[in-house]
Amino acid sequence: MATDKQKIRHLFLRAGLGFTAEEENILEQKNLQQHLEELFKNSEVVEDLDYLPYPLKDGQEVSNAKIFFMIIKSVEDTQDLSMAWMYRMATTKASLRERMTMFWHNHFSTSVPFAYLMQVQNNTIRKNALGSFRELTQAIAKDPAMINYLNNQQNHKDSPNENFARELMELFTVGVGNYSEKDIKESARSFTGWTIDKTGEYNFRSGDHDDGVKEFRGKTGNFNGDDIINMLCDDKQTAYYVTRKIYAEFVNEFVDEEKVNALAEEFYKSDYDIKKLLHSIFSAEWFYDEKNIGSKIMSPVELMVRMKKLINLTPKENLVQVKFQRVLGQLLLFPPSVAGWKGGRNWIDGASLFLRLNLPFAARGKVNINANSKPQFEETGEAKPPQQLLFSSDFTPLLQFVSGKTDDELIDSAALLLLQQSLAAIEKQKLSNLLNQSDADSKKIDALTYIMSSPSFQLV
Amino acid sequence: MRNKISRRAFLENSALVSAAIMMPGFLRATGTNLSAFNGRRLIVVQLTGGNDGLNTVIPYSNDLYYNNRPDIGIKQSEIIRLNDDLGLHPSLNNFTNLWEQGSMSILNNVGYPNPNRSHFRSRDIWQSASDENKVINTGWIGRAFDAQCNSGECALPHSAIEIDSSLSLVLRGDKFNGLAMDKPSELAPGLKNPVIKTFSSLDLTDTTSNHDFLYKELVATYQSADYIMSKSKIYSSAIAYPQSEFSKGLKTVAQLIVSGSETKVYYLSLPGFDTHVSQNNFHPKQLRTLADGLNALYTDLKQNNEWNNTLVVVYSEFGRRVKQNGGRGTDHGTANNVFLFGGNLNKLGILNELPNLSDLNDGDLKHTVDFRSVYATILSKWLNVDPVTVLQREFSLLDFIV
Repeated sequence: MATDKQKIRHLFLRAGLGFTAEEENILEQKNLQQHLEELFKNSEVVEDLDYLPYPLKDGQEVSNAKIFFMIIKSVEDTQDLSMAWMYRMATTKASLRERMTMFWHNHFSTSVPFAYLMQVQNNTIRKNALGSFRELTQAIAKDPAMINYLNNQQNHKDSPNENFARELMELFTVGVGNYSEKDIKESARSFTGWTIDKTGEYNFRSGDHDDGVKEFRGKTGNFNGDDIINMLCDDKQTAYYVTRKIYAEFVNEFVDEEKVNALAEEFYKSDYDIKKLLHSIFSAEWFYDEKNIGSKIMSPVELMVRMKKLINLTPKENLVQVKFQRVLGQLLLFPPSVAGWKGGRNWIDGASLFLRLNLPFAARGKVNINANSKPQFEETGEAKPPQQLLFSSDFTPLLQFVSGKTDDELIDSAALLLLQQSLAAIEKQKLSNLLNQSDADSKKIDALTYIMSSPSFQLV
Repeated sequence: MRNKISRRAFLENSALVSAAIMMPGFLRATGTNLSAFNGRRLIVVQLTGGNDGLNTVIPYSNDLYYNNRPDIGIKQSEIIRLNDDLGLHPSLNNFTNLWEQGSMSILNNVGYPNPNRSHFRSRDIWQSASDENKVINTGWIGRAFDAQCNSGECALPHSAIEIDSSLSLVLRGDKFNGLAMDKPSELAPGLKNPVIKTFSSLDLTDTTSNHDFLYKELVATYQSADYIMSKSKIYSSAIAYPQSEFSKGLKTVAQLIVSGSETKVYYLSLPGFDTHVSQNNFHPKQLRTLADGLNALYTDLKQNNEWNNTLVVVYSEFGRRVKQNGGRGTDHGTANNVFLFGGNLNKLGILNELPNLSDLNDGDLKHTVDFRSVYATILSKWLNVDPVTVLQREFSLLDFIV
């Protein structure tokens, strides 16, 4: 049985984004139920991420030259925005809202070379992150970045483009195998004329909209895009598809179908109330079952935010963090494809695993890690050699948890603090042997470093 | 050259081999793919950004080429002529060596139906070998190694190496992942990490748990890193490689090959081909980097009798539009040429019909060869892997190798 403290940490690590040493210290002043309610209450606030200014003057329309200029600058701007978002994650009290914003960013995966539009979408998602999935989907269908990304600007009355219609069904709502090619064609017709104007806002061009009769999933009518989304959400399959994805992300990648079905039923009945669904999951007893605790491989962003909270891990400059995220395989706002990040074991390959395990040593300046980010398409110059990734950190706040321990107790107490699963005998033995070789005055910080560098730390 | 092998490095290497024999897991893991791939190796070079194929292999006899490119067309007098119709950009003069030695062929008009003009998407299509409208989350080379896995035991990561800090989709399979590294010395922090080291011989078997999965990955990566590190000490190239990052990568590849690394696939990218503006200020330099680097690799491998076992493929995610744009550059296009190099090519020279500049699709070249036919040919004839398993359907095989 997990202890109350483990359960509370489990809640924070899955539903939130970890905790600081200070929070760890007062973890037991409230019980699990109180923490849960507070987590939701703290996330009632919606604070836009206002990092990038609107790139046009008021009322000004964008010119081709301006578009070109924006594209050139976009990678850099979007990288900075990405870093600003991660900083927000590590410092906000509304951690559940940020966590869900990240989840939906992966669900409605988008990447366009217009940094400001990425910010607009991010704020649209944030606003709806804990609201109604139906409304969120409708907002995304009118989101300029999404319209640009999935070519709805090229979806014309006389020559429909099916890109958005296909992904709407395949990835966003009912899922693969639950629609026909005819559904895609008819749905694409319904979204014709949904476009962006020259100020970067959603614009409905009625002259380019096919207002003829469509036949969609057995129904006939003069449908528009909103009707299509409503009909898809009226299908229980959408509730199931989305619930299953949330379960896999927040509970366990090995999905318990029975539980998903029950949750999906509830989600459907609530007309897609996301907050309610999450509350049901996080207050269920089975969420805290041993098999669900410490079973998930942290995503690169979860790892970095957790390290920021634990030891104030800080890159020397934004670009260091950007390179780091690229090597680990997750730079926010640059998803690999419309299908998003696959997650789970897909985070791990030799290079990314070594980097994860070297990070605590690098944070202490004990090793030099060098990396380069994959060449960008926009560059026309020569590739640069790998550069050293420099971080600063502060282990002091964590040392209080291992102070007063004898040498023999250090590995155990560091593990108790930092791991969600107990150390296997063989892990403990090997790390204890290693710690025996440490100097007397660095044993405490070494114990923390060793635990953070062991593969088990990657699991929450 | 083999006589460059220092006695000490040689001894260290033999020690590693005997240690390997005592580790049944190690042998099992590497043994599976060695026999299947016949001791041959593949080097793939990705020209990132969309290389302008028409200014690379130039249809100089065609007036349409010059009509469409009044400012950026390459003058006939400067072109290195391959035949009466096609010639190389002058910056590729180092390719003439390979051409004359019978180690080079060119496939025109390679692409896929409904071409996508997004860098990201088209790169993923080439790397995953998917249809234009399908997202596949594994790479074609990753899947080639998946097909070699035997009851959960796959080849070790160093069987497919990417010269980069991070691993591209192309070397990712469901079960197998390749190893990314800028150079062998970048593996040192991991090898020296005391925690990694202490867990490097742990044998955990419950692959259903993520806990054991992570330890298993750690052990495999450590073994691969250790293997590559030891190989990297054996042969130091005596050939002068150019100073570019790309050439440094090729040098690393050549050194591993001559040192006898059992790596089957090497993957490298050369960026800088997205030439929307003032193309002729940038493009020639990139082509030179490519040709000079590959010529050094050729010289190195040839001297060490490793060229005949090597096949090099050079491709880009798309070509560029036939007509130049307003900025004396070119915008994203479609079908493109693919270069093949090696000591064992079956057919040399220009392998198929010229790009047709008068029958365009919305200003872009039409493809006549599906890129997956190139992959199928390599899988089937070079790597000895069933192409249908990897590509999920049949593609016609080409005859550039037998």
